[in-house]
Amino acid sequence: DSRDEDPQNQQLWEQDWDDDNIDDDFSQRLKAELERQMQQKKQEQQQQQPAPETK
Amino acid sequence: VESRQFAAFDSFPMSQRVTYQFYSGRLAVFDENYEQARQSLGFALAHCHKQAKTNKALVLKYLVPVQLVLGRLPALPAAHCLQQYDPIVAAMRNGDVKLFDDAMSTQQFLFIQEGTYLLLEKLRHAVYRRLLRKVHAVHAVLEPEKRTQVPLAQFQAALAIQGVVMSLDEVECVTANLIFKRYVKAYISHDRKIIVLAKKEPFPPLHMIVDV
Repeated sequence: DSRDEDPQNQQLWEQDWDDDNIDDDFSQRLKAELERQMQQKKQEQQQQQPAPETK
Repeated sequence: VESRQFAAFDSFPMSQRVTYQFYSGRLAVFDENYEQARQSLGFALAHCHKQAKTNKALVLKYLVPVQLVLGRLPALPAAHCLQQYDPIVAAMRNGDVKLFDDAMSTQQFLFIQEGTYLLLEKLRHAVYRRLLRKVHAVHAVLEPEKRTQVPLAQFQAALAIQGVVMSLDEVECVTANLIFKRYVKAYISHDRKIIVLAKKEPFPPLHMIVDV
């Protein structure tokens, strides 16, 4: 009998969790780390470039 | 049971239909027919007697991993909560490879006993996919003009933050597997050590991947 069933069983699943939101702690930490890496890379590139010749 | 010569399925008492669907669903899991398993186990859960708490928990024990494989996370009321899946669900949601590894190893014997270990192990790719998606989202903010070109080193850095140490070759291998298994639409530039993601829908929904 459908009266014996639990209506709560119908709304148990979440489907829209797989988003591109980056507000969570982990994404923020990742962002900080990637920014650090990019900064480091830029500095290394600058150091590798020879200084402009002066006459 | 589904043949026309057999008595109509609806003519059986609900308790027998629920039992039948429960075992059909479990069989479908073994056949890797996850959509079928979801439907059968879903029927068993939806029509289970509201006071049969043990039976409900039994159905959920198999239905939760099936739904996870198909990309649906449980939003369960506390009464139904199967605590053994909490860390797995959190790992899926956050792309937390370390949490997933730890949960699978500490609860290995329980999952093997319950017959869900191999099913749960399938989620590893989904967890990696989720993490790569996060890396891609952050990278897109930092370098919008190169949003589709994600350096492997960034994926490696994300794993390192979680406490997973991997060489760049291992990271490349994981990524190649994700691409091969269609979790990510991309190709790898081995020389430049970058993943080049598809412009359109680089991360197809999980149910599309598993169903095909």
